[in-house]
Formats: sequence, structure tokens, C-alpha cells
Amino acid sequence: MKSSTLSFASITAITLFLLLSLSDVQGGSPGVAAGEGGNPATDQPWRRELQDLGFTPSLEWDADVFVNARGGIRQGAVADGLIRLALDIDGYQLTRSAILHDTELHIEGIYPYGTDISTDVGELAAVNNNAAYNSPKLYEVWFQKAFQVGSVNGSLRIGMMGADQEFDVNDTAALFINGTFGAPLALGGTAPVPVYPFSALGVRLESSVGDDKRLKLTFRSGIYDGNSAAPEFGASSVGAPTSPAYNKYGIDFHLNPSTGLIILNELAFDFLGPRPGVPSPGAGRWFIGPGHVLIGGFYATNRFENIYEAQLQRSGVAEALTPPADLSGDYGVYSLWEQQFYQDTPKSAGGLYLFARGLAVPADRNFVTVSAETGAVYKGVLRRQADLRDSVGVGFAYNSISNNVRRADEVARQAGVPEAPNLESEAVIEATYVLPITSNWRLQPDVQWIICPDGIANSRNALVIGLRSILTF
Amino acid sequence: MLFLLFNATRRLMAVNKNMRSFLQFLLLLLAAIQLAQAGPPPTVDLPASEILEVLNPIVILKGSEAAISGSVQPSTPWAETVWGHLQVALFDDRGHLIKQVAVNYSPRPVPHDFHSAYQPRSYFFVTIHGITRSVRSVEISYHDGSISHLKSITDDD
Repeated sequence: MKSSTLSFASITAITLFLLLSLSDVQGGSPGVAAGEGGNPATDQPWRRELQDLGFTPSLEWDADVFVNARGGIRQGAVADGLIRLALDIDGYQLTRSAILHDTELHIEGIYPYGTDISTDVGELAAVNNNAAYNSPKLYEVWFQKAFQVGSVNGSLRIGMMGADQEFDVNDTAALFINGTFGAPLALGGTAPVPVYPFSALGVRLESSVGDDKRLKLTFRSGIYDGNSAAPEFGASSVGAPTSPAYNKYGIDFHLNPSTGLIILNELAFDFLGPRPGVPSPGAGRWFIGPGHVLIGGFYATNRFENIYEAQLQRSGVAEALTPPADLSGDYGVYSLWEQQFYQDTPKSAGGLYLFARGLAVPADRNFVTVSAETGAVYKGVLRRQADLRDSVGVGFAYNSISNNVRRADEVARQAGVPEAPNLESEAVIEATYVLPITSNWRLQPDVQWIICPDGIANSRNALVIGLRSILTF
Repeated sequence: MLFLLFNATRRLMAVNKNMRSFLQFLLLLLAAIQLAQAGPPPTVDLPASEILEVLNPIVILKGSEAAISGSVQPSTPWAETVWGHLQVALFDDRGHLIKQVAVNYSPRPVPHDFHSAYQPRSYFFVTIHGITRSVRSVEISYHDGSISHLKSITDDD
């Protein structure tokens, strides 16, 4: 009797469950195309409701542990992190007003925290690209309007922005943790170009022509306030902030064009490789794949110290008692190349990418004069599913110190200043692997070999091992 | 839900054995009818694109409505995503188009973050009303151009 009661109850329960569920959903979760991922568990009704109102929030939490295993200043281990919170508002979705079609308002805050491994390594190019003055900070607030004029697509962006978010961006190298793969050291080293963690009031115009499937040309131009960022190597730019703690909450909206402006221009070529026939489905192939070539430059209207005289003065050499002469403006040119050479399946993002980038600035007013990086990234090593694709990367970066600085230090040494360093260059070899555990959590082991930390020729090479956890919501 | 089931079971236990068997049969019959009407779930086709790849597509069919959502990320790391949209097309058993709508993803462009190995995403969501035939497959594809410059396409053959 008891078993029949249980049997009856269970059959009834299962039947009712089937009826209830089937009456709501006919199709259920989708099947998915071969090679792509489907994960109904990631459905987020709250996100849909917010998006219907025009709001798209995002939150990312990077937590790092770094160990300086050898070399540098001293051995040691640190923990740090970065919390990034952003909100994007679609103007049309929010107001349903036709004039706000293709408009976007972006608000982003960051909170870097913890100890910077640089205190143990003493390097030029930041081992940790997230490291910054520990403070919650309003990082970007901008408004963008996209437009179409004939065959030209464009967008105008205005507000507080980081120049390195859009200019000279090496997207292929985004997975590397060393900072010089992000904004080149020579870009924000001496000139107060607003690169992470700084941003500045400015305006940016972008326009593109051509076909994404053949060749597309994009011209990008931006003008930023010239004294809203503290250069990495101190006070060579006259009137620019000097402390990493400058504008620590990001609410000092500095704008004074008469004392300095930063102007960046670049031209990008996007192209797809030839398609020899129809490749068999599922087969990987080597080819001259889609690529991205970029050339550009920047000009800073600020005044800059003569770096030779300034370096002599810092060394305390007698002949440098008079203030260093000012030079008008600073400038630099850069180029970037990224290209895919292997696809694991046709049109897949998985495969092998190579990149190279270089930036050069004049030696008479800049501390670092050449920044160059090259490397390879493979996406989809062990996991090819689009949202869980793993990546491995090997990169090499080189930063050369100005000949004028080296010459000044040589003079200082000859003048009997024992602490005048023998500066040359610094190089970094980085190997990293990104393993998505879920679509919202990634683990990233990382190894960096820093050759001549701080650019000092006889300094002991450093080995840094790190692990980054990336949580997103 | 469990409470309702428990109560329903207790009430059914109270009726006589013949009635109980009849009710059980009736429920199973209704479930079988629903299953037969439901048919197989629709397949989702995601044509490859060098600009955007669609992640985690979710299709929920409810009566004459279809709710389709998911996320997108750039296919190539440097892809420009400021000026594009998605087209969602519903097809019937014979492969004929039922409806096709253009939908924006947001934020647009897809955010990019060179400080992180995580590739940020944009999201899309659309509800298509007035579906009169059984949906066999759903295609979500990327197209250049803004929706504001397009005429919304709605075909019903």
C-alpha cells in the first residue's frame, strides 16, 4: 500500500511537472551550431530588463598574486587587484527619441588596490598593468554619437577619456600583464599623455570607409587636455602633474588648453586575407588571415625640459646649476601590425595571431625613446568553445633609454658622482596562459623575465611569477 | 510548487481507486499531447563573421512569441564594432522564413579592455511577436550598419 501510494504520488508529480513546464516553453533551450557554445544557465533576466531600459552594467574584479623569485631590488611576494565598474547607457533605448539613435553614455570607475610588485623589482615597464595609486577613481565619462554620411561611418566622442583606450591599441596583446604591452612606455613616459590610470577631458573623432570584408580605412583623431596626467618618469614636462596620486579620485576635471594639449592621429587598415576555395568544415588552416595595420603619431604642445641638462641637474653635477632649457612641444610616431595566420576552423577567432608594435620619440626631451613589442598569441589551445576559449601568449618588449640621458650620466660619473647609473635599456619576456574556468571566471598564470630592470646595465635580471584571477559579472 | 503538488496528491489519495487510476491516465494523456505538440527544440544557427561572434544564444518560445537573447564579442581582436547590428531570423519546418528582425547589441561598440585577458561583451535581447507557425530554426547573424539607417524587415509568407 505504501509503495503504491509513493508510486502514484511520484507519477502524478512527474506528470504535473511535465505539464507545467511544457505549457510555458515549447522550444526549450536551443540547439547550437557546430563549434559554438550554448549555455542556457547564463540567461540573466535582470540584465535583459536593464538593457530594455538602456542600461548595461559591468563589473570586473582582477585579483593578483606576484612573486619576485630572483633579481631586481629584493625577493618578495605581493597581492593586489583592480575592481572596475562600468555603466553604459543607450540614449535611444532610454528615451526612445530619434535624435538619440546610436548614442552611448559611458561611465567607468576603477579601484586599484594592494602592493605594487614594482617595489621589489624596480623595473621601468610595469610588471603589473593594473598597478596604480590605491584609490577609488572615476576613470572615464564620455558621450558618443555615431553617424553615417554617405559611405563614411563615424563617431564623435567627448568627455573624460584615456587616450590609450583608443590610440595605439594592440588588441592582440591585451592578455599580457606587463604594462608596456598596453600603453607603450615611451608614450606616457615623458609627455603627459592621459594613459592608465589617468584620463583627461577631450574629444575624439573617428571615421571609416570601405568594406569590412575587403579593406577598411579608419582615421582617428583626438585632442586631450595637456596637463591631466603625471608622466611615468617625472617632471620633464613643464607644468604637468608629477605625483602618481594626482587626481586620485578622478573628479578634478582639469581643462586649460593654453598650457598644453595632447593631439593624437592615426590611420588604420583592416583587411581580410584571400579565401582560397572553400575549406573543409572543421579543418584548421594556415593562411594570410585578417589583419590590422596602423600608423599614427602624437604631438604635445606643452614645454619640455632639455633631458640632458635636466639629468645633469638631477645628478648634482656642478655645470648644471642653471635651470635646464625648455623645448617647445614633444612628438612621436608609432606603428602597429596584428594578423591571424592560423584558424582552427573556418572564420573562427581561434588560431594563431602575431603582432609587432613600435613607437619612437626624440631623445633630447624624452627619457625612454623607443618602445617596441612583438609576440604571438594562440586562442583555443585546449578549449575552442567561443566563451570558454583559452589563450596562450609569448611576448617580448624592449624599451631604450635616451642617448642624452646616458651621456649625462656618463658625464656625472666622470665628474665623480658614484650613484650616477649606467643606463641602457630594459627588456621583458613574458609568457602567459588564460584559462576560463567558467564564462565569468578566468585564471591566468604568468611568468616575466625582466632583463636589466630599471634599464641599468649591470642590474640583476628579475624573474617574476604571478597568478591573476579575473571575475566578471 | 512542491506544496501544490503535495496537496494535489493528498486530494487524489482521498478519492476511490478507480477514480485515482482515471485521473492518472488523464494526466499522462495530457502530458503526451503537450509533448507531441511541443516538437523538437529549434536549432540555432550562428553564421561565422570576422567582426562579431555570438555567445550563449537563448531562444524561448511561448505561444506566438519568441524571446531571443545572448551576448557578442569581437571575432578578431581589433574588429570595429561601433557600426553594426544583428539580424534574428525564424524559419519553419520547410526552411521558409517566418520573421526576421534587426536588433542592436549594447553597449555598442563592444567594450575592449587592454588591461585584462577578459574580452568584455555586449548583450542583445529581442522579443518577436505574432508567430503563426512552428519555429524549427533560428539564425542570428551580424550585419554592418546601424538599425537607425535600416527599414525593419518583417516577412511573413
